[in-house]
Amino acid sequence: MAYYSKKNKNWLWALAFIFIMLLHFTKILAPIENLAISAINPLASFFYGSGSRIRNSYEENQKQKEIFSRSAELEKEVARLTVENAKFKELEQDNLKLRTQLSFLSTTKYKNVLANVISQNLVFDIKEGDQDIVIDRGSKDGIKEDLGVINENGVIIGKITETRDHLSKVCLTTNRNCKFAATIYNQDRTMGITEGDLGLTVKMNFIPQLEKINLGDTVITSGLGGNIARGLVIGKVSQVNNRSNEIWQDVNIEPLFNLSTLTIVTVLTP
Amino acid sequence: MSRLKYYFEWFFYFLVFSLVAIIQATFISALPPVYFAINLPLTFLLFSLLIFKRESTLILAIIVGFWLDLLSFNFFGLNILIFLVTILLIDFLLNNWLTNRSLYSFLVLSALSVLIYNILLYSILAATYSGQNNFSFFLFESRFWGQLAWQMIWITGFMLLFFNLANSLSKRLKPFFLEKK
Repeated sequence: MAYYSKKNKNWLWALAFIFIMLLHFTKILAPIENLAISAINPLASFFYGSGSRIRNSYEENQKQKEIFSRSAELEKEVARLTVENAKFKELEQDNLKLRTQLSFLSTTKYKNVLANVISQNLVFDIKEGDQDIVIDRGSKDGIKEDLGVINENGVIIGKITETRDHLSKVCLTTNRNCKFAATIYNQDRTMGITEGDLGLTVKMNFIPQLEKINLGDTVITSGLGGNIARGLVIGKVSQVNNRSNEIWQDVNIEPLFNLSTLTIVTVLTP
Repeated sequence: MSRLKYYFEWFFYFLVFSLVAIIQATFISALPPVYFAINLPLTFLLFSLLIFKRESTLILAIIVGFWLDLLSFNFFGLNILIFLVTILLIDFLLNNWLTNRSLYSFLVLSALSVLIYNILLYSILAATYSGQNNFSFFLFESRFWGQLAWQMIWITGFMLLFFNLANSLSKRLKPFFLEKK
């Protein structure tokens, strides 16, 4: 008898689960869900920021040895860049004057929506190289799928793949399923599609062998991908893989953002 | 008055378990890989199963699952379902096989709960993502087993801590040993 009553109670739990699903999919729960999400967003971004800081310091400890060995090399690079920067500043001044003369009101027609990162993948990536973050702005804030997302330095970090009323999922450029129409800033202005590689770097495949690509070339969005503006930096070429017996070559691109320091991002809306 | 106390207690549990779910989804998800394996909701639900009745733990499982479903982009209900089934199975094991309520039983139960939880979670996710071209079956992924091992280490560690703490406060979970006479 006890067995039967317990079994019946298990059915009650199954019914309760179905009832909750029903309330969710008929949108009856939607106001409560939206209220809950809005209420916890500040707390969620605080917790994510704290976790992110811990991860950052952990990773920095890991990298410390590597940093020491590279510091001498970087000092030389800094000297070279300082000279280059001075030239660019001059060019920037010229550019500004020209823009003013041409009555440009703004350098971009895109609007921005600032968002806090509140979560990363809740489970380890079952799909190899899948990396996503969740931000606290959604369709009610004007965000829709395929919009570009940049960090505080203006580097594109990914694009929106899914939205809810007050949340959105962003696939990172290092995500294998995240593809961008891109241009390599070389002599030929090579165009192609980038995709993430094992969640660590970005890859551009099927580049004709005749195109000359150098290490350190900047890769930018080409603007052919619909809602994503042209000229957003994806990364720098870190490896060129070309074999003489193959028709195509491919390049590895080092992204210019660090996932552990991403706490605030900007969504570019049209 | 006692009714009011009852409601107040439940409100308190609601807050605690909601906070646990939010911390899991936001704080722990941002931590480095080894700490990322901490499964706080499952740990708290196991504690609750040992202290409270099964029904109370199942309600808390729904609360935790609801928050995690709100904050994740997997299909709604995934976490509620997995926590409910895990708790039901663990309760079944607790009442039928691991009945002596010793520390060792609880440690085995903790490890089993992690195994059940992960197998359920990844089986459902595998079924969801099986159509995608870069899908690889989780049982053949070394990362899955690595993550599972770390989760087991964390949860048995927490259980050990909790058991000793509870034992120092009450006699309900006092460990005992079978002695030969």
